Amino acid sequence: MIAWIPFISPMPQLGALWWLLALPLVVAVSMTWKAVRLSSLERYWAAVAVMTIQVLVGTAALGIGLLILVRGILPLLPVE
Amino acid sequence: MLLLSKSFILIAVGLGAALLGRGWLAFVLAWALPGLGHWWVGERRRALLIGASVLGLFFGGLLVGGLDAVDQTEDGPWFLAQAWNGPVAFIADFANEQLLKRPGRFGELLPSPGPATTPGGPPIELRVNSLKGVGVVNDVGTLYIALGGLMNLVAMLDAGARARRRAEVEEDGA
Repeated sequence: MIAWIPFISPMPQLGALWWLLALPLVVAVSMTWKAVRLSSLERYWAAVAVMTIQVLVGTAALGIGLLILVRGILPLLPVE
Repeated sequence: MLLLSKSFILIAVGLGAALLGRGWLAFVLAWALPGLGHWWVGERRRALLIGASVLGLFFGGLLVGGLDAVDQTEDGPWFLAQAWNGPVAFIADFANEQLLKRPGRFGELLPSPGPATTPGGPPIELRVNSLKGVGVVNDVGTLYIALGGLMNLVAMLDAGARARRRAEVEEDGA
């Protein structure tokens, strides 16, 4: 096995846990969006936390909805 | 091919700056270094937050996906989004060309069958670096950097608009 060279080769042993990388991604996107959109930065971190939770819950809900559609509803439809 | 070339991004930055009128300098500064446009307008805290988040996405993407996460030649459409991170994206693409696609730097160039030149014809022989990312982690790194670029485009437009408003207020006050 080739040793990991940070910033050169992909991070190893993240294969099965790649979905956890969604959390820092959403936090960073929320940070930029709220820094641009808020007129006052007094409650900045609270707004970032709310947006992060909204995006993650929304994404998970879409995933669950698609799972129910593909695994639960579509197999019940007649073949012809 | 113009749409996928580096010069297209530079033309787009110039065109955006021209359309913003008096906000053009903040727009270009925000592209040169994420957060710098807001810093120039006087929004220091906003600048630090934007710089930290956009550059965090960029270097986080490189850390997760490796240098191959920025590749204008092989991932041209992705590079259209990544290029809005600023010159760092062009530097990373150049480093990818120099370090991973030439022999003797990092890793080893291995033979790999490419697509056929003609239907049914023999495949082209390609050489691919042993450190090239082909898994989902590399895709996540590419996505991080692309989203960082698109978020910086939002910040660039905001910095330009703030600079233009400030200039108009100063003009009205004079």
